Amino acid sequence: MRAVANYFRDIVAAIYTITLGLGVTMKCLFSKPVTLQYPDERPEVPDGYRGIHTYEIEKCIACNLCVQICPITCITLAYEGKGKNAVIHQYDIDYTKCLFCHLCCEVCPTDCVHMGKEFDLASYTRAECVIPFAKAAAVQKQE
Amino acid sequence: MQDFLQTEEILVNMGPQHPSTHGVLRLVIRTDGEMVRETYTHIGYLHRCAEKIGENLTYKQFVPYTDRLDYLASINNNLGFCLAVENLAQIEVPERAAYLRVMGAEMNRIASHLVSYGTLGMEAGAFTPFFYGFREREQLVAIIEKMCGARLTYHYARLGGVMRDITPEIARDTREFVRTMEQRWEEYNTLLSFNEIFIKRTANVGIIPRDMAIGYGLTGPCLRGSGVEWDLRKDDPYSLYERFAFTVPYGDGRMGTVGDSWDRYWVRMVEIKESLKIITQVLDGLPEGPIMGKVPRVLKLPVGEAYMRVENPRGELGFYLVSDGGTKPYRLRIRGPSFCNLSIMNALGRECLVADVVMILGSIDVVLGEVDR
Repeated sequence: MRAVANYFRDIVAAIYTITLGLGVTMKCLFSKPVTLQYPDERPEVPDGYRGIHTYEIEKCIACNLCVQICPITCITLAYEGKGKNAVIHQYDIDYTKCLFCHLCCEVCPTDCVHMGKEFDLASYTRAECVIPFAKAAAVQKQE
Repeated sequence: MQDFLQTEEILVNMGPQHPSTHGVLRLVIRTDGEMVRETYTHIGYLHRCAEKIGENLTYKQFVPYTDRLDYLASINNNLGFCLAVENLAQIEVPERAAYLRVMGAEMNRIASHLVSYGTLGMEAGAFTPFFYGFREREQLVAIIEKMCGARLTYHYARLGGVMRDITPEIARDTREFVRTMEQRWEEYNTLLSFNEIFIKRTANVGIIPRDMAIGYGLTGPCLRGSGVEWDLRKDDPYSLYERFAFTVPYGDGRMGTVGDSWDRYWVRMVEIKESLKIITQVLDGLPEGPIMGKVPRVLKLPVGEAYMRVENPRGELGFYLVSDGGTKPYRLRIRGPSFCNLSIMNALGRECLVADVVMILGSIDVVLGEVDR
Protein backbone atom coordinates (compact mmCIF):
# COMPACT_ATOMS: atom_id res chain seq x y z
CA MET A 1 0.00 0.00 0.00
CA ARG A 2 2.81 2.34 0.94
CA ALA A 3 4.59 1.63 -2.34
CA VAL A 4 1.47 2.63 -4.26
CA ALA A 5 1.16 5.83 -2.22
CA ASN A 6 4.82 6.63 -2.87
CA TYR A 7 4.32 6.01 -6.56
CA PHE A 8 1.53 8.55 -6.79
CA ARG A 9 3.35 10.99 -4.51
CA ASP A 10 6.35 10.89 -6.85
CA ILE A 11 4.14 11.60 -9.86
CA VAL A 12 2.51 14.56 -8.14
CA ALA A 13 5.91 15.90 -7.00
CA ALA A 14 7.30 15.52 -10.53
CA ILE A 15 4.37 17.38 -12.09
CA TYR A 16 4.58 20.12 -9.46
CA THR A 17 8.34 20.70 -9.89
CA ILE A 18 8.05 20.62 -13.67
CA THR A 19 5.34 23.28 -13.46
CA LEU A 20 7.68 25.43 -11.36
CA GLY A 21 10.41 24.96 -13.98
CA LEU A 22 8.00 25.82 -16.77
CA GLY A 23 7.22 29.04 -14.90
CA VAL A 24 10.89 30.02 -15.29
CA THR A 25 10.89 29.21 -19.00
CA MET A 26 7.62 31.08 -19.49
CA LYS A 27 9.21 34.22 -18.06
CA CYS A 28 12.00 33.94 -20.63
CA LEU A 29 9.57 33.30 -23.45
CA PHE A 30 8.50 36.93 -23.38
CA SER A 31 11.94 38.47 -22.96
CA LYS A 32 14.38 39.58 -25.65
CA PRO A 33 16.29 36.73 -27.29
CA VAL A 34 19.98 36.53 -26.37
CA THR A 35 21.10 34.58 -29.43
CA LEU A 36 22.66 36.14 -32.53
CA GLN A 37 21.76 34.94 -36.01
CA TYR A 38 25.47 34.55 -36.64
CA PRO A 39 26.36 34.90 -40.31
CA ASP A 40 23.79 37.69 -40.74
CA GLU A 41 24.43 39.38 -37.42
CA ARG A 42 28.05 39.74 -36.40
CA PRO A 43 29.02 39.87 -32.74
CA GLU A 44 30.63 43.00 -31.36
CA VAL A 45 34.32 42.31 -30.89
CA PRO A 46 35.94 44.22 -28.00
CA ASP A 47 39.18 46.18 -28.26
CA GLY A 48 42.23 44.07 -27.59
CA TYR A 49 40.68 40.98 -29.13
CA ARG A 50 43.18 38.31 -30.13
CA GLY A 51 42.17 37.60 -33.71
CA ILE A 52 44.07 37.45 -36.98
CA HIS A 53 47.21 39.62 -36.87
CA THR A 54 47.82 42.99 -38.46
CA TYR A 55 51.36 43.74 -39.53
CA GLU A 56 53.04 47.08 -40.15
CA ILE A 57 55.90 46.27 -42.50
CA GLU A 58 57.44 49.74 -42.43
CA LYS A 59 58.00 49.50 -38.65
CA CYS A 60 59.51 46.00 -38.73
CA ILE A 61 63.26 45.79 -38.09
CA ALA A 62 63.49 42.03 -38.77
CA CYS A 63 64.79 41.30 -35.27
CA ASN A 64 63.41 37.75 -35.42
CA LEU A 65 62.13 37.91 -31.82
CA CYS A 66 58.55 36.99 -32.75
CA VAL A 67 59.80 33.96 -34.67
CA GLN A 68 61.86 32.86 -31.69
CA ILE A 69 59.16 33.33 -29.04
CA CYS A 70 56.41 31.59 -31.05
CA PRO A 71 55.70 28.31 -29.20
CA ILE A 72 54.64 26.54 -32.37
CA THR A 73 56.92 28.22 -34.94
CA CYS A 74 54.10 29.35 -37.18
CA ILE A 75 55.83 32.58 -38.30
CA THR A 76 58.18 32.54 -41.31
CA LEU A 77 60.33 35.60 -41.77
CA ALA A 78 62.72 36.20 -44.70
CA TYR A 79 64.66 39.45 -45.03
CA GLU A 80 67.78 41.18 -46.27
CA GLY A 81 69.79 43.69 -44.29
CA LYS A 82 69.38 44.59 -40.63
CA GLY A 83 67.62 47.06 -38.40
CA LYS A 84 65.74 49.94 -39.99
CA ASN A 85 67.27 49.21 -43.41
CA ALA A 86 65.96 45.66 -43.47
CA VAL A 87 63.96 44.64 -46.53
CA ILE A 88 61.29 42.10 -45.62
CA HIS A 89 60.56 39.59 -48.36
CA GLN A 90 58.33 37.26 -46.45
CA TYR A 91 56.30 37.45 -43.27
CA ASP A 92 53.89 34.52 -43.23
CA ILE A 93 51.76 33.32 -40.34
CA ASP A 94 50.32 29.83 -40.57
CA TYR A 95 46.88 29.95 -38.99
CA THR A 96 46.48 26.18 -39.03
CA LYS A 97 49.11 26.20 -36.28
CA CYS A 98 48.73 29.58 -34.54
CA LEU A 99 47.74 29.40 -30.85
CA PHE A 100 46.62 33.06 -30.69
CA CYS A 101 48.73 33.39 -27.54
CA HIS A 102 49.76 37.03 -28.18
CA LEU A 103 53.41 36.35 -27.28
CA CYS A 104 54.65 37.60 -30.67
CA CYS A 105 52.97 40.96 -30.17
CA GLU A 106 54.28 41.37 -26.63
CA VAL A 107 57.89 40.66 -27.54
CA CYS A 108 57.98 43.04 -30.54
CA PRO A 109 60.33 46.00 -29.79
CA THR A 110 58.86 48.27 -32.48
CA ASP A 111 55.23 47.28 -31.93
CA CYS A 112 54.76 46.31 -35.57
CA VAL A 113 52.68 43.18 -35.13
CA HIS A 114 49.28 43.33 -33.45
CA MET A 115 46.30 41.07 -33.11
CA GLY A 116 43.23 42.32 -34.90
CA LYS A 117 39.51 41.84 -34.60
CA GLU A 118 39.04 39.43 -37.48
CA PHE A 119 38.18 35.92 -36.31
CA ASP A 120 36.71 34.27 -39.38
CA LEU A 121 39.28 31.61 -40.25
CA ALA A 122 37.34 29.24 -42.47
CA SER A 123 38.88 28.50 -45.85
CA TYR A 124 38.72 25.76 -48.45
CA THR A 125 42.40 24.83 -48.58
CA ARG A 126 45.27 24.68 -46.13
CA ALA A 127 47.30 27.06 -48.28
CA GLU A 128 44.67 29.75 -47.76
CA CYS A 129 45.24 29.50 -44.01
CA VAL A 130 48.77 30.85 -44.41
CA ILE A 131 48.57 34.61 -44.68
CA PRO A 132 51.54 36.30 -46.47
CA PHE A 133 51.58 39.66 -44.70
CA ALA A 134 54.69 41.02 -46.46
CA LYS A 135 53.29 40.26 -49.90
CA ALA A 136 49.95 41.82 -49.02
CA ALA A 137 51.76 44.96 -47.86
CA ALA A 138 53.74 45.09 -51.13
CA VAL A 139 50.57 44.75 -53.18
CA GLN A 140 48.93 47.49 -51.14
CA LYS A 141 51.92 49.79 -51.73
CA GLN A 142 51.80 49.23 -55.50
CA GLU A 143 48.13 50.12 -55.59
CA MET B 1 13.76 -20.02 -17.86
CA GLN B 2 17.28 -18.74 -18.56
CA ASP B 3 18.27 -21.93 -20.40
CA PHE B 4 15.16 -21.66 -22.45
CA LEU B 5 15.71 -18.03 -23.48
CA GLN B 6 19.46 -18.39 -24.09
CA THR B 7 20.29 -14.85 -22.97
CA GLU B 8 23.82 -13.57 -23.17
CA GLU B 9 25.73 -10.51 -22.12
CA ILE B 10 26.57 -7.98 -24.80
CA LEU B 11 29.59 -5.66 -24.98
CA VAL B 12 28.48 -2.19 -26.00
CA ASN B 13 30.80 0.63 -27.03
CA MET B 14 29.77 4.01 -25.71
CA GLY B 15 31.98 6.53 -27.42
CA PRO B 16 34.47 7.79 -28.47
CA GLN B 17 31.96 9.93 -30.30
CA HIS B 18 29.02 9.67 -27.96
CA PRO B 19 27.29 12.90 -26.92
CA SER B 20 27.28 11.88 -23.26
CA THR B 21 30.98 11.20 -22.91
CA HIS B 22 32.14 14.84 -22.55
CA GLY B 23 34.72 14.42 -25.28
CA VAL B 24 36.54 11.55 -26.88
CA LEU B 25 36.16 8.98 -24.14
CA ARG B 26 35.25 5.39 -24.92
CA LEU B 27 33.37 3.32 -22.38
CA VAL B 28 33.04 -0.39 -23.05
CA ILE B 29 30.00 -1.61 -21.17
CA ARG B 30 29.15 -5.26 -20.55
CA THR B 31 25.38 -5.25 -20.45
CA ASP B 32 22.81 -7.79 -19.47
CA GLY B 33 19.67 -6.29 -20.91
CA GLU B 34 19.35 -2.85 -19.34
CA MET B 35 21.70 -3.75 -16.48
CA VAL B 36 25.37 -2.83 -16.70
CA ARG B 37 27.59 -5.55 -15.31
CA GLU B 38 30.95 -3.86 -15.89
CA THR B 39 32.35 -0.66 -17.36
CA TYR B 40 35.82 -0.27 -18.81
CA THR B 41 37.24 3.15 -19.60
CA HIS B 42 39.43 3.61 -22.65
CA ILE B 43 41.32 6.86 -22.86
CA GLY B 44 44.05 8.32 -25.03
CA TYR B 45 42.12 9.63 -28.04
CA LEU B 46 43.21 13.18 -27.29
CA HIS B 47 46.79 12.52 -26.25
CA ARG B 48 49.07 15.35 -27.40
CA CYS B 49 52.28 14.73 -25.40
CA ALA B 50 51.78 17.97 -23.47
CA GLU B 51 54.45 17.04 -20.92
CA LYS B 52 57.04 16.24 -23.56
CA ILE B 53 56.18 19.40 -25.50
CA GLY B 54 56.76 21.30 -22.25
CA GLU B 55 60.26 19.87 -21.97
CA ASN B 56 61.10 21.26 -25.42
CA LEU B 57 59.77 24.77 -24.88
CA THR B 58 60.88 27.62 -22.69
CA TYR B 59 58.82 28.38 -19.59
CA LYS B 60 57.14 31.38 -21.20
CA GLN B 61 56.24 29.41 -24.29
CA PHE B 62 54.56 26.60 -22.38
CA VAL B 63 51.99 28.82 -20.63
CA PRO B 64 49.62 28.95 -23.65
CA TYR B 65 49.82 25.15 -23.84
CA THR B 66 48.41 24.85 -20.34
CA ASP B 67 45.25 26.53 -21.67
CA ARG B 68 44.62 23.40 -23.63
CA LEU B 69 44.76 20.93 -20.74
CA ASP B 70 41.42 21.59 -19.11
CA TYR B 71 40.09 23.91 -21.75
CA LEU B 72 37.09 24.89 -19.63
CA ALA B 73 39.36 26.30 -16.92
CA SER B 74 42.27 27.89 -18.77
CA ILE B 75 43.08 30.60 -16.24
CA ASN B 76 43.29 28.06 -13.42
CA ASN B 77 45.74 26.01 -15.48
CA ASN B 78 47.86 29.07 -16.34
CA LEU B 79 47.92 29.97 -12.68
CA GLY B 80 49.15 26.53 -11.60
CA PHE B 81 52.04 26.49 -14.04
CA CYS B 82 53.02 30.10 -13.42
CA LEU B 83 53.06 29.54 -9.65
CA ALA B 84 55.29 26.49 -10.06
CA VAL B 85 57.79 28.43 -12.17
CA GLU B 86 57.61 31.49 -9.91
CA ASN B 87 58.26 29.31 -6.86
CA LEU B 88 61.40 27.89 -8.38
CA ALA B 89 62.62 31.14 -9.93
CA GLN B 90 61.78 33.23 -6.83
CA ILE B 91 59.79 35.71 -8.90
CA GLU B 92 57.68 38.04 -6.84
CA VAL B 93 54.16 38.68 -8.05
CA PRO B 94 52.64 42.11 -7.34
CA GLU B 95 49.60 42.13 -5.10
CA ARG B 96 47.29 43.54 -7.74
CA ALA B 97 48.29 40.79 -10.15
CA ALA B 98 47.60 38.13 -7.52
CA TYR B 99 44.14 39.62 -6.93
CA LEU B 100 43.41 39.70 -10.66
CA ARG B 101 44.56 36.10 -10.96
CA VAL B 102 42.12 35.09 -8.23
CA MET B 103 39.34 36.98 -9.97
CA GLY B 104 40.13 35.35 -13.30
CA ALA B 105 40.35 31.90 -11.74
CA GLU B 106 37.02 32.27 -9.97
CA MET B 107 35.31 33.60 -13.10
CA ASN B 108 36.67 30.63 -14.95
CA ARG B 109 35.44 28.30 -12.19
CA ILE B 110 31.92 29.66 -12.59
CA ALA B 111 32.12 29.33 -16.38
CA SER B 112 33.28 25.74 -16.00
CA HIS B 113 30.57 24.82 -13.49
CA LEU B 114 27.93 26.37 -15.74
CA VAL B 115 28.97 23.98 -18.51
CA SER B 116 28.83 21.13 -16.02
CA TYR B 117 25.35 22.23 -14.92
CA GLY B 118 24.07 22.43 -18.48
CA THR B 119 25.53 19.14 -19.66
CA LEU B 120 24.41 17.20 -16.60
CA GLY B 121 20.89 18.46 -17.14
CA MET B 122 21.07 17.46 -20.78
CA GLU B 123 22.27 13.99 -19.84
CA ALA B 124 19.28 13.63 -17.57
CA GLY B 125 17.07 14.48 -20.55
CA ALA B 126 16.43 18.13 -19.78
CA PHE B 127 17.56 20.36 -22.61
CA THR B 128 16.57 23.72 -21.10
CA PRO B 129 19.32 23.99 -18.42
CA PHE B 130 21.94 23.75 -21.15
CA PHE B 131 20.69 26.93 -22.79
CA TYR B 132 20.26 28.72 -19.48
CA GLY B 133 23.76 27.76 -18.33
CA PHE B 134 25.26 28.91 -21.60
CA ARG B 135 23.35 32.18 -21.53
CA GLU B 136 25.10 33.23 -18.31
CA ARG B 137 28.36 31.71 -19.48
CA GLU B 138 28.21 33.90 -22.56
CA GLN B 139 27.91 36.99 -20.37
CA LEU B 140 30.92 35.83 -18.37
CA VAL B 141 32.99 34.90 -21.42
CA ALA B 142 32.29 38.35 -22.88
CA ILE B 143 33.82 39.90 -19.75
CA ILE B 144 36.89 37.65 -19.89
CA GLU B 145 37.13 38.44 -23.60
CA LYS B 146 37.49 42.10 -22.70
CA MET B 147 40.09 41.20 -20.08
CA CYS B 148 42.39 39.14 -22.27
CA GLY B 149 41.02 39.07 -25.81
CA ALA B 150 40.17 35.40 -26.07
CA ARG B 151 37.04 33.38 -25.50
CA LEU B 152 38.35 29.96 -24.50
CA THR B 153 42.12 29.72 -24.38
CA TYR B 154 42.66 32.78 -22.25
CA HIS B 155 46.41 32.79 -21.52
CA TYR B 156 45.66 35.43 -18.90
CA ALA B 157 47.98 34.58 -16.01
CA ARG B 158 51.56 35.09 -17.12
CA LEU B 159 54.90 34.41 -15.48
CA GLY B 160 55.24 37.24 -12.99
CA GLY B 161 51.72 38.62 -13.20
CA VAL B 162 48.79 38.91 -15.54
CA MET B 163 48.38 39.89 -19.16
CA ARG B 164 46.32 43.07 -18.84
CA ASP B 165 44.85 45.21 -16.14
CA ILE B 166 41.10 45.51 -15.81
CA THR B 167 39.32 48.67 -16.86
CA PRO B 168 36.50 50.34 -14.89
CA GLU B 169 34.15 49.04 -17.58
CA ILE B 170 35.16 45.44 -16.88
CA ALA B 171 34.73 45.98 -13.15
CA ARG B 172 31.26 47.39 -13.76
CA ASP B 173 30.30 44.51 -16.05
CA THR B 174 31.57 41.99 -13.52
CA ARG B 175 29.53 43.51 -10.71
CA GLU B 176 26.49 43.42 -12.94
CA PHE B 177 27.19 39.79 -13.75
CA VAL B 178 27.44 38.93 -10.04
CA ARG B 179 24.03 40.53 -9.47
CA THR B 180 22.43 38.72 -12.42
CA MET B 181 24.01 35.41 -11.52
CA GLU B 182 22.70 35.52 -7.96
CA GLN B 183 19.16 35.79 -9.31
CA ARG B 184 19.71 33.17 -11.98
CA TRP B 185 21.12 30.76 -9.41
CA GLU B 186 17.70 30.50 -7.81
CA GLU B 187 16.15 29.92 -11.21
CA TYR B 188 18.64 27.15 -11.92
CA ASN B 189 17.59 25.37 -8.77
CA THR B 190 13.93 25.63 -9.68
CA LEU B 191 14.68 24.34 -13.15
CA LEU B 192 16.97 21.45 -12.33
CA SER B 193 18.35 21.00 -8.81
CA PHE B 194 15.02 20.40 -7.07
CA ASN B 195 13.20 18.89 -10.00
CA GLU B 196 11.78 15.59 -8.78
CA ILE B 197 12.75 13.67 -11.92
CA PHE B 198 16.33 14.97 -11.75
CA ILE B 199 16.55 14.06 -8.07
CA LYS B 200 15.30 10.54 -8.84
CA ARG B 201 17.94 10.23 -11.56
CA THR B 202 20.87 11.42 -9.45
CA ALA B 203 20.14 10.74 -5.76
CA ASN B 204 21.47 7.35 -4.58
CA VAL B 205 23.17 6.88 -7.95
CA GLY B 206 26.93 6.40 -8.17
CA ILE B 207 27.56 6.59 -4.44
CA ILE B 208 31.22 7.20 -3.54
CA PRO B 209 31.78 6.57 0.17
CA ARG B 210 34.28 8.80 1.96
CA ASP B 211 37.04 6.17 2.21
CA MET B 212 36.65 5.16 -1.41
CA ALA B 213 36.92 8.78 -2.54
CA ILE B 214 40.15 9.22 -0.61
CA GLY B 215 41.45 5.83 -1.74
CA TYR B 216 40.99 6.63 -5.41
CA GLY B 217 42.69 10.01 -5.01
CA LEU B 218 39.63 11.99 -5.99
CA THR B 219 39.80 15.73 -5.61
CA GLY B 220 37.59 18.72 -6.15
CA PRO B 221 33.78 18.49 -6.09
CA CYS B 222 33.95 14.69 -6.39
CA LEU B 223 35.84 14.46 -3.10
CA ARG B 224 33.84 17.16 -1.38
CA GLY B 225 30.63 15.53 -2.56
CA SER B 226 31.60 12.54 -0.45
CA GLY B 227 31.70 14.72 2.64
CA VAL B 228 35.45 15.34 2.82
CA GLU B 229 36.32 18.94 3.57
CA TRP B 230 39.40 19.46 1.43
CA ASP B 231 39.89 22.52 -0.66
CA LEU B 232 43.36 23.79 -1.48
CA ARG B 233 42.13 27.36 -1.48
CA LYS B 234 41.51 26.92 2.27
CA ASP B 235 43.91 24.16 3.25
CA ASP B 236 46.98 25.20 1.30
CA PRO B 237 46.26 28.76 0.12
CA TYR B 238 48.05 30.19 -2.87
CA SER B 239 47.88 33.53 -4.67
CA LEU B 240 46.51 35.34 -1.57
CA TYR B 241 43.40 33.15 -1.29
CA GLU B 242 43.72 33.34 2.49
CA ARG B 243 42.51 36.95 2.35
CA PHE B 244 39.09 36.10 1.01
CA ALA B 245 36.16 34.86 3.06
CA PHE B 246 34.21 31.97 1.61
CA THR B 247 32.88 28.63 2.73
CA VAL B 248 33.69 25.27 1.19
CA PRO B 249 30.58 23.26 0.40
CA TYR B 250 30.54 19.50 0.87
CA GLY B 251 28.03 16.72 0.38
CA ASP B 252 25.66 15.88 3.21
CA GLY B 253 23.34 13.35 1.60
CA ARG B 254 20.47 15.80 1.46
CA MET B 255 18.55 13.95 -1.24
CA GLY B 256 19.80 10.43 -0.64
CA THR B 257 23.16 9.12 0.49
CA VAL B 258 26.35 11.07 1.13
CA GLY B 259 28.54 10.94 -1.98
CA ASP B 260 25.84 10.33 -4.56
CA SER B 261 25.63 12.10 -7.91
CA TRP B 262 23.26 14.75 -6.57
CA ASP B 263 25.74 15.69 -3.84
CA ARG B 264 28.52 16.18 -6.36
CA TYR B 265 26.21 18.28 -8.50
CA TRP B 266 25.11 20.36 -5.51
CA VAL B 267 28.70 21.04 -4.42
CA ARG B 268 29.32 22.59 -7.85
CA MET B 269 26.19 24.69 -7.62
CA VAL B 270 27.11 26.06 -4.20
CA GLU B 271 30.67 26.68 -5.40
CA ILE B 272 29.26 29.01 -8.06
CA LYS B 273 27.75 31.10 -5.29
CA GLU B 274 30.95 31.08 -3.23
CA SER B 275 32.98 32.13 -6.29
CA LEU B 276 30.65 35.09 -6.76
CA LYS B 277 31.46 36.13 -3.18
CA ILE B 278 35.20 35.93 -3.89
CA ILE B 279 34.85 37.98 -7.09
CA THR B 280 32.99 40.72 -5.19
CA GLN B 281 35.70 40.77 -2.52
CA VAL B 282 38.42 41.03 -5.15
CA LEU B 283 36.69 43.98 -6.80
CA ASP B 284 36.13 45.68 -3.45
CA GLY B 285 39.68 45.29 -2.22
CA LEU B 286 41.68 45.49 -5.43
CA PRO B 287 44.96 47.19 -4.48
CA GLU B 288 46.68 49.68 -6.76
CA GLY B 289 50.05 48.87 -8.26
CA PRO B 290 51.79 47.14 -11.11
CA ILE B 291 50.40 43.97 -12.69
CA MET B 292 53.71 42.47 -13.68
CA GLY B 293 56.70 41.51 -11.56
CA LYS B 294 60.31 41.55 -12.67
CA VAL B 295 60.82 38.65 -15.04
CA PRO B 296 64.13 38.38 -16.93
CA ARG B 297 63.83 38.32 -20.70
CA VAL B 298 65.67 35.02 -20.88
CA LEU B 299 64.34 33.06 -17.94
CA LYS B 300 66.77 30.51 -16.56
CA LEU B 301 65.59 28.60 -13.52
CA PRO B 302 68.03 27.50 -10.82
CA VAL B 303 68.77 23.80 -10.53
CA GLY B 304 66.07 22.19 -8.44
CA GLU B 305 62.52 21.02 -8.42
CA ALA B 306 59.14 22.46 -7.53
CA TYR B 307 55.64 21.10 -7.15
CA MET B 308 52.70 23.42 -7.18
CA ARG B 309 49.07 22.46 -6.89
CA VAL B 310 46.00 24.58 -7.38
CA GLU B 311 42.31 23.98 -6.90
CA ASN B 312 40.80 23.71 -10.35
CA PRO B 313 37.05 23.44 -10.93
CA ARG B 314 37.61 19.70 -11.31
CA GLY B 315 40.07 19.20 -8.49
CA GLU B 316 43.71 19.39 -7.70
CA LEU B 317 45.91 20.30 -10.65
CA GLY B 318 49.60 19.79 -9.95
CA PHE B 319 52.70 20.79 -11.88
CA TYR B 320 55.97 19.10 -11.02
CA LEU B 321 58.98 20.86 -12.50
CA VAL B 322 62.58 19.73 -12.51
CA SER B 323 65.11 22.25 -13.72
CA ASP B 324 68.70 21.58 -14.71
CA GLY B 325 69.55 25.26 -14.79
CA GLY B 326 68.59 25.79 -18.43
CA THR B 327 65.89 27.76 -20.16
CA LYS B 328 63.67 24.69 -20.54
CA PRO B 329 62.40 22.29 -17.88
CA TYR B 330 64.34 19.04 -17.60
CA ARG B 331 61.15 17.24 -16.65
CA LEU B 332 57.58 18.41 -16.46
CA ARG B 333 54.84 16.29 -14.96
CA ILE B 334 51.20 17.28 -14.81
CA ARG B 335 48.82 15.79 -12.29
CA GLY B 336 45.41 16.17 -13.87
CA PRO B 337 42.35 15.99 -11.62
CA SER B 338 40.08 14.63 -14.36
CA PHE B 339 42.41 11.67 -14.93
CA CYS B 340 42.35 10.64 -11.27
CA ASN B 341 38.62 11.27 -10.95
CA LEU B 342 37.89 9.17 -14.01
CA SER B 343 39.74 6.19 -12.48
CA ILE B 344 36.74 5.56 -10.23
CA MET B 345 34.47 5.03 -13.24
CA ASN B 346 35.25 1.31 -13.50
CA ALA B 347 34.28 0.79 -9.87
CA LEU B 348 31.09 2.87 -10.05
CA GLY B 349 29.80 1.67 -13.38
CA ARG B 350 28.73 -1.81 -12.30
CA GLU B 351 25.41 -3.33 -11.36
CA CYS B 352 23.54 -0.23 -12.43
CA LEU B 353 21.36 0.84 -15.34
CA VAL B 354 22.78 2.10 -18.65
CA ALA B 355 21.17 5.48 -18.02
CA ASP B 356 22.92 5.62 -14.63
CA VAL B 357 26.35 5.25 -16.26
CA VAL B 358 25.65 8.46 -18.16
CA MET B 359 24.62 10.26 -14.98
CA ILE B 360 27.65 9.00 -13.05
CA LEU B 361 30.01 10.13 -15.79
CA GLY B 362 28.25 13.49 -15.95
CA SER B 363 28.48 13.97 -12.20
CA ILE B 364 32.21 13.16 -12.17
CA ASP B 365 32.53 15.88 -14.86
CA VAL B 366 35.72 15.09 -16.71
CA VAL B 367 37.41 17.07 -19.46
CA LEU B 368 39.20 14.77 -21.83
CA GLY B 369 41.77 17.37 -22.80
CA GLU B 370 43.18 16.98 -19.33
CA VAL B 371 42.68 13.22 -18.96
CA ASP B 372 44.79 12.49 -22.04
CA ARG B 373 47.03 15.58 -22.01
